[in-house]
Amino acid sequence: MGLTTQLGKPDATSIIKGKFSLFEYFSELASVAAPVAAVQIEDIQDFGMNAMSQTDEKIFHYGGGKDYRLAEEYDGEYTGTLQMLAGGMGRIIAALLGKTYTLAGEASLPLGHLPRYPLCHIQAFLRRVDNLTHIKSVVLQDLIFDPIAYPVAMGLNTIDLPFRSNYDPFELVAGAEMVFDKFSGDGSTTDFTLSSTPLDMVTATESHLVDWDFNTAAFVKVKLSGEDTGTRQKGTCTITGTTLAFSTAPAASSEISCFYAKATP
Amino acid sequence: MIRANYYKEDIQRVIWTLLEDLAGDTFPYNKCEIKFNYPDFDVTRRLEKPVVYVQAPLNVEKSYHFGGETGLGWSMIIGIWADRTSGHEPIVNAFVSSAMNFFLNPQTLNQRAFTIKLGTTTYTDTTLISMGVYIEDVEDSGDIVTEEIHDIRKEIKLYLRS
Repeated sequence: MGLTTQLGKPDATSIIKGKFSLFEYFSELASVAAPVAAVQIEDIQDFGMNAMSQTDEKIFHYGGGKDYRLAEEYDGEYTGTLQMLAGGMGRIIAALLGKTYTLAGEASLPLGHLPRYPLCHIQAFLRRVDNLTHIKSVVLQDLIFDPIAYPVAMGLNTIDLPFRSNYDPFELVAGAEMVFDKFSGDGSTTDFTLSSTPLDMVTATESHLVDWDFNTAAFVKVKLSGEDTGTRQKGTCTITGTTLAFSTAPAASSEISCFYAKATP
Repeated sequence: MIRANYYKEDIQRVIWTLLEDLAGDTFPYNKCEIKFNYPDFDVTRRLEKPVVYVQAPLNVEKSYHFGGETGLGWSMIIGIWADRTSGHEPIVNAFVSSAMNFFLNPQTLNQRAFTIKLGTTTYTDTTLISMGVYIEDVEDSGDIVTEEIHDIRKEIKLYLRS
């Protein structure tokens, strides 16, 4: 009976502040490992994510003809920005590209032409003011980075690192964290063992979840030798417990990846 | 847990107890006398040690969700007063620096265990966050003018939520 109900005050998990949050990424270009180690991101000053766009395509004829809905496109994209201290920008770009950006490695870092395929998945841990107690996480998958403007401002110089993605961002419950496992295909192995037990993440059959093909993973991809990016699998494999099982063995020299959630010990 | 009907005193007592606990084993707190409230005149005129005073919090912010009670944000002053015989500026600056660092380091701050009694309940080996006090920020409020020119007084201001 809500007419006279009074709720409590906002509790310590209601308020999110960036200074108590930690961002890390899983690199799409990382070497095969189960799990791929997450890398903490330094120098972040701000973070913003726009709503996912949707397009609604219609067809009609002149003369007052009634609209006919040709297609309703839910599989849109969202954009966002990581605002970072200028000094740290090179480090993060180089790391995302898998470059050894040093005197002994590659000494320059082209900023105008970034790859047009997904480079990483970001997980932001939102924590209470003790920097210890997990409130929840925000996870962004398959991020493609846009060209960077590089203003040299006076004072505290920050730079926007713009990104986009075509796949659902999602929240993750307190006590859970993402795992990114990568395996090598040899043309004959069909079963791969995940490094942790996946949590149930969604009910993928729900009609609005167009980006989800598994209940227990955000995606499974297979990247063939020589390709820039992997293909999301649908109907070619299943996840049961810690077993990722393909009906047909992924090709030799292919790279299999699985992005899923586990309970934090 | 701090009590809703005793917000001001309980928050003040939690912070004071935490500093008292630090004074048991940590420099520069162990060189100071930690006072609950602003010190009386007779104390400040005969300083055997620098006096740290913990004042009651002032409500500066409110937060709520629709149909709910009000959460409170507070500011709170912690000061230190020394004279030429009790350590003077080096110990005062050490205290301000150390306190700033302590209150701005969330993990150390919120894992420091202390024992406190609020009302009739004793909380053993509790922490600031377990008591329902959340430090969000701290700033250096600078020097405070003193009547005696050889005295030195500085304050920091905590911003906290409960």
